[in-house]
Amino acid sequence: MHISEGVLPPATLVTGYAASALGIGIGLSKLTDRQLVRTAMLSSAFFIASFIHIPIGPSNLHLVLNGFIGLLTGWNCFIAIGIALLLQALLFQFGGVTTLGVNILIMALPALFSHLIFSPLLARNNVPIFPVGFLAGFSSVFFSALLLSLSLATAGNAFLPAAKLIFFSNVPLMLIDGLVTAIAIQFIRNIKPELLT
Amino acid sequence: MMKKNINRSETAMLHTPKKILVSWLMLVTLLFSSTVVQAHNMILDCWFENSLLLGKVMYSPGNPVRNCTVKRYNLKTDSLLATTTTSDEGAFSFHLENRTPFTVVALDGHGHRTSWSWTGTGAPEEKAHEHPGHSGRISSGKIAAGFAIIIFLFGIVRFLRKHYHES
Repeated sequence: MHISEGVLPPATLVTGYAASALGIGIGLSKLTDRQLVRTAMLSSAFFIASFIHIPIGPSNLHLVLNGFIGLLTGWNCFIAIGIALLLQALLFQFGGVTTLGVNILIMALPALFSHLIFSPLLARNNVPIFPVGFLAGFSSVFFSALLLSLSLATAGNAFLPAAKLIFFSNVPLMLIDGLVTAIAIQFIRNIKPELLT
Repeated sequence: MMKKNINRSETAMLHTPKKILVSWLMLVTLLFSSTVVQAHNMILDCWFENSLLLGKVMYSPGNPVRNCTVKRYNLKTDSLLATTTTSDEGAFSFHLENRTPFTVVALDGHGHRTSWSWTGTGAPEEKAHEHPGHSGRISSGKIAAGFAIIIFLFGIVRFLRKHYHES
């Protein structure tokens, strides 16, 4: 789900950087000492999740886990995802430095959405946690794929069929990420529920 | 009761860095248990055969990239020379009218892009099977370096915050 160098027009790249910088700025202003450790851990988790790929048909997908990261970090997801993507671009040439802003936005904005919508539900004891966790993971990848398709669509009409294709090709990943997020959230609720409040 | 809760919370805070360190060490140990891991990336491999440029586009685990658009550009002028798509095996070919320097760019339509360039210097055959794009294989050392940088960056933030609060 990384966009490589040389695909997007400059206007999209600049917009991506501006929006991501805003998100990181807000994240830094809300970062407490306790959240700092959690953000570092989840940044590491996001950094490594991209190396775990799942073969599906002729292609393969890798875990994103942005919904899970959003649920646990809130606005700090911009910092966690931003650092991980920067390192992936510098060390492994995943995505690229010019597309970093757009890639952060594609991953972090749905993560923040997941936090704003689903975290209040997880804090309640009368809400079934597994479906909420699944929806958080599913919807985050759903919106990431949507943003990715929209970003590609800004590159010109030649990318429109690809933009549609990429959205639908990510449906299995939505399901897998939703399932992994649900299991992880259920596990956290059982062993350390205060992380979800 | 409230004091007790605060003490417990403070104790938890003190133990947290130790837990984090242990978790990180476990993760790094797991990573080093295998020497190489694979990444989801695109590899472009090209070679010359007489007047043909042959190539193959693959994802890093070795899966061929089907129906991938491959374009050949003039390296100096950036003008488009030819376009083709890959077969079910991820293979493609270009007929070379002359050996002017060129760049081959592969786009899978999923945001992955990789390229291969021939600068025109030296015998073309010596450039066969070059991988100027992504290598596709990721060393555990780089992953460990990534973790170290994350710890370092967040350590700096923690230090600066502590320094700011003390002053």
